[in-house]
Amino acid sequence: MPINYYIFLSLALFCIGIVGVLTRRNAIIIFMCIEIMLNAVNLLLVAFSKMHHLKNAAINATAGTDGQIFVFFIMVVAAAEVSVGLAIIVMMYRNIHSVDVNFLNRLKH
Amino acid sequence: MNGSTVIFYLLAALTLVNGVLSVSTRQIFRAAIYLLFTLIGIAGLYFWLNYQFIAAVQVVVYVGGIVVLIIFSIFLTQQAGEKLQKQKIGRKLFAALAVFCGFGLTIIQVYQHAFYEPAETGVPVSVAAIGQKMLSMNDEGYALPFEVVSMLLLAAMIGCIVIAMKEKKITDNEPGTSSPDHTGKE
Amino acid sequence: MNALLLSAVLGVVMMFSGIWLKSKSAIRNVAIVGMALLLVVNILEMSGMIFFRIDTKGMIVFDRFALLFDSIAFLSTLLYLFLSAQDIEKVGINYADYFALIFFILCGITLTSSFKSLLILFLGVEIISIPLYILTGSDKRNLKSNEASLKYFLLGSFSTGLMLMGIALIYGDKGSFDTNSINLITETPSALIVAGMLLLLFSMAFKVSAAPFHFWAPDVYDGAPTVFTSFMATIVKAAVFIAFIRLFEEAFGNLQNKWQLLMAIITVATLFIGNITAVFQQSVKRMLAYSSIAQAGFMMLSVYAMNAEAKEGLLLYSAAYSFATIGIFAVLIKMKDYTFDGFNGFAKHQPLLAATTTIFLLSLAGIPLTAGFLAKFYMLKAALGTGKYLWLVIFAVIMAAVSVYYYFRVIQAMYFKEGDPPVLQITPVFKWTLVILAALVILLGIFPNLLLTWYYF
Repeated sequence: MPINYYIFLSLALFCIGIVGVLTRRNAIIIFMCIEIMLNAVNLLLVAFSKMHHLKNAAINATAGTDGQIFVFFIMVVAAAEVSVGLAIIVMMYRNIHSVDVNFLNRLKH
Repeated sequence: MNGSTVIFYLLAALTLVNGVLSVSTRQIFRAAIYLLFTLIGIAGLYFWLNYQFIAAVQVVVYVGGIVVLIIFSIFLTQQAGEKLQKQKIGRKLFAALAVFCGFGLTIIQVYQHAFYEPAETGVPVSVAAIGQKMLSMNDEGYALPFEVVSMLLLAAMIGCIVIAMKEKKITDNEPGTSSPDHTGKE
Repeated sequence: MNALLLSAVLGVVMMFSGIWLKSKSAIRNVAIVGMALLLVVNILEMSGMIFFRIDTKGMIVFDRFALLFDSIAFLSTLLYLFLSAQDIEKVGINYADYFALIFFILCGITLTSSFKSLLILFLGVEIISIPLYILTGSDKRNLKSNEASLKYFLLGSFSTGLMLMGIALIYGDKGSFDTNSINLITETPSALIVAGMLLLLFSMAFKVSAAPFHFWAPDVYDGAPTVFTSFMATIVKAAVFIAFIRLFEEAFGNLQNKWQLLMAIITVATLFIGNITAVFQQSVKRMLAYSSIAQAGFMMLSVYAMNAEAKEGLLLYSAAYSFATIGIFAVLIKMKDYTFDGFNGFAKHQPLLAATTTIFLLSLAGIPLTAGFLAKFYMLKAALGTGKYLWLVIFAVIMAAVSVYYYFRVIQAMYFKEGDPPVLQITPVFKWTLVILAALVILLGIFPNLLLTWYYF
């Protein structure tokens, strides 16, 4: 498959994520949209890693591996973020029994 | 169009359709399930690319860990099956328009860019090679970021405990709410 | 390298000290001693004594710029702990963990100030952000704190997503995460590089709360417990600026003519929104939140100019701004009423505190003989040095004049209005630390070379 297909696919997925973040109000759904964005990035990195690997494999047998390793680190960080984020969401739910957010206005207390 | 191309299109369609559904559905539990299929579709693409290591990590971390955590927290915070309120149509249109303008511009730019067109003959990097590179102290080894990321996990773990642990003075009647966030991962 | 390892170890030590040590003051003392040790070790590294020689394979490079900034950040944190460690304990029951998180943030600061690889930049920014989300929400029963934490978390992860997309696009073109190999760009950069650079620019602007990505900052700074706002708005913000200038100098330095206009526009917007909105605030805490956006606008001038003066100026600015703002927040924590009226008659009841607060406010407003004046001067000089966009400099001067208004409102309330402000208990250590901070602000305002010689020798 030419690399263009992957770029198209992952940018489309990334934009779906952004639209979700901008339109939804439920914190958990916004959070899922962010996960979709991160996955789009991972897909793109893997595709580029493959491209660089095929391009440079003759010179360096492990060319393009750093893309994969970066993806691994993104996944680890995403897991850490998920645990923190969901803890915050649950904490907020305990207090106000709602997980809706509105970025431009404040809640009325 | 041969068989492998068909599989690529199917996986791509699975990923995109489920992504759109996950973002647009009004039932939060379904959104999580659609997200699950999106992630599986991406894992399938990694397998299709012959990247077994990343595909396996994707399945274990995202499908097995993150989605399960999200479903847990949905159950903790929401009555499943309850519909969320509708979005304002103006806001939806505005966001979609803005994002797809940016998307279109990027795509046009990218298509004018001549990429290296590989012949599909490369030998994939073995998992052992990735592991050695990740932990080696040699040139281009990734031992330092690996240690750094372990520290990040520790910080996140402390953070989850700080946030989720109950204050002793207050009697709280929700016994299950504190634990699943930090036990699932480490 | 010394500071990086020691701060990570200290984070773990603080975590265990919460289990082993029963008394609050013991934990506090461990934190303060650890912080002092961190500062000493870093200064030793500046003078050539490196305890751990680890070959990082060019992923991080501890040059003078990074080490000097680390020292400034550690010194500010040390003074911050002297002033506010007792107030950290009042936030919640996990006080030892708060100190641990602060040390992890410092560890992230050493990474972001010295990265050479985009991977380290990403990890460093995340190590800073994740503990900050927690510290913002640490006042668990307070709805404002909860909401601030959730907003900060969602928007922070969103901007991390943008940053990662930028990194991925750049990787696609260059096949490397190393900043030096990214900078090898010919006359016409590819679309991937330009798109990646824009995404990185947006996400970094977001992290430093530059307009139009500033909208999270007032709510988060206002909602977070005041002790942690003080830390977030000063040391962390300065650290992200260091990462910002490093990224755009080392990775995109050759593209300066492409991004300079955009950076100028962001600077103007930040200065305008920060200063004008600060004028209309009724709460001093919220005014300081907007003022931190305004000060970020001034620091953006250094990223825009990107020359030798800009780097010197940014170091001086981060010191001047951190010292002054930490001092004001420390006084603010001791007040019961955060509105401007809460400061009425403060000078009569607490003459020493009022005098030091006045010095800090004068420094933030950029009055001569204070560090803030020289810092602003360096920034304007750097911006003039580029030889373009004179309107930017003129606009910055006008905005500095506007800022005088809202800083002087506090001074006016303290000295020229009658009132009896209730103040929490004040210890002698607190008073003396404030005096030291004020002395540092004036000293740097008269002899900036005390700081800047370290940059060269």
